[in-house]
Amino acid sequence: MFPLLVVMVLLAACGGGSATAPTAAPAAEATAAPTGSGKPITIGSKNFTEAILVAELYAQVLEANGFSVDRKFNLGATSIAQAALQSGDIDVTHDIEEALRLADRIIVMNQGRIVQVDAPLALLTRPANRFVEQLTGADDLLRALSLIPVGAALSATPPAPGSAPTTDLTPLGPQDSLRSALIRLLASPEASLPVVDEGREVGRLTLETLRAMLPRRGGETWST
Amino acid sequence: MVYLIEHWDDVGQLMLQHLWLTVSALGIATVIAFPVGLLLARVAWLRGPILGLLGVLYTIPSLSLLVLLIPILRLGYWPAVGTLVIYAQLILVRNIVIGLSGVDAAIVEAARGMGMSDWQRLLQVELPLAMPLLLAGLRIATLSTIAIATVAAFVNAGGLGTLLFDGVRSSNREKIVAGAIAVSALAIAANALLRRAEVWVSRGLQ
Repeated sequence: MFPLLVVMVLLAACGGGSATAPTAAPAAEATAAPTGSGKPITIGSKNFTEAILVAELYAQVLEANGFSVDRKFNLGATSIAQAALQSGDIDVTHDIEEALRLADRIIVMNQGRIVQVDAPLALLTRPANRFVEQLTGADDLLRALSLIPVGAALSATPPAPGSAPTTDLTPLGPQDSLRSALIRLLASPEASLPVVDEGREVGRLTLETLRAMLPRRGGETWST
Repeated sequence: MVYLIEHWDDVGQLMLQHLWLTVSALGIATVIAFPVGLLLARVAWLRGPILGLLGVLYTIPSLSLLVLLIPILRLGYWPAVGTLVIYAQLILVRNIVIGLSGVDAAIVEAARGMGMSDWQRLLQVELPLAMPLLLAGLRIATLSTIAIATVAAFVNAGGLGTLLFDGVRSSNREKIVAGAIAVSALAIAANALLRRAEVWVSRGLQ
């Protein structure tokens, strides 16, 4: 939807590095192209002093890391900040769910340091460290699966060979989450489920495909 | 007042931004309102529905209108201008309609009798006679636009609203006063200028 959008999850040192900043923090969201492409990351903030300060902190950390930053501080209302985030006008959010949904690439910051720059899927499946893992919720397997769309799993793995012609199963859509796909697979007598996009079968989802998408830590499949 | 004197360059810059927002919004608004007004002056049955629609748009709170425009016009200058253009429509269109339809039917008839074409009649008879009302409409629209343009600060579009709302946010009375004085000065100056133009035009008609 936003081919160049990079939503940054900027987590300042707040408490024990919790996943979301305090509610008093700005609704800051930022858009940017991948590192080095020169498109600035836009940082927004709402119109109160603390929000502007926190947004300025983000801006300076990013600039220190070689990103160019566009400051759009002092926005008049949450609804404006939210609309601007949705339209890709600002690129920083504290909400990881929002970031995973909107961004093509995500910069995760912790304690003023950039810890990972990656696609949402990669953040979920290959978190760089424990912090990212907890932030994205990748340590909760079902939660991680619920955040990965079926379409992403299909394109990340080679198509399942020799699939049987479909019976009258309700097909999966590419936007369905892997979590619901897993439930369907477990309940289904079939070994694979068809994925249909706009009336056309685009692939079949098997438990193998699904397993390949499970979050890994250092090459090891999660043990829970 | 101390703030105004010590930071006259900042205030001046915001004032210029404010002026630019107002002028560009009024320019765009006039370009849209003019054909609409002409159409409504000719086609009477359209007046009710269209003026009604513009009235409804006028009642949308500015903050909501900004939020509605952001997905289309992005953040910054354009949603602010879009909001101002929409608000100016009701006043401008209404005054064009009233001005044009208020021209004495006998004069229009006489112009037709002299063999003037539709365009000649419009440009040489109706518009000059309606001009004082059109200018009055422009003056009211300008004043309301200057006032409403303060909300441009909400979408990072600058203007004197930045000063006002910064003052409110940081409980800085000086900033609020400076912003209020600057907005008022703009409005008073614009009013005087356009009022003079109105007087000049109506004198020319006599």
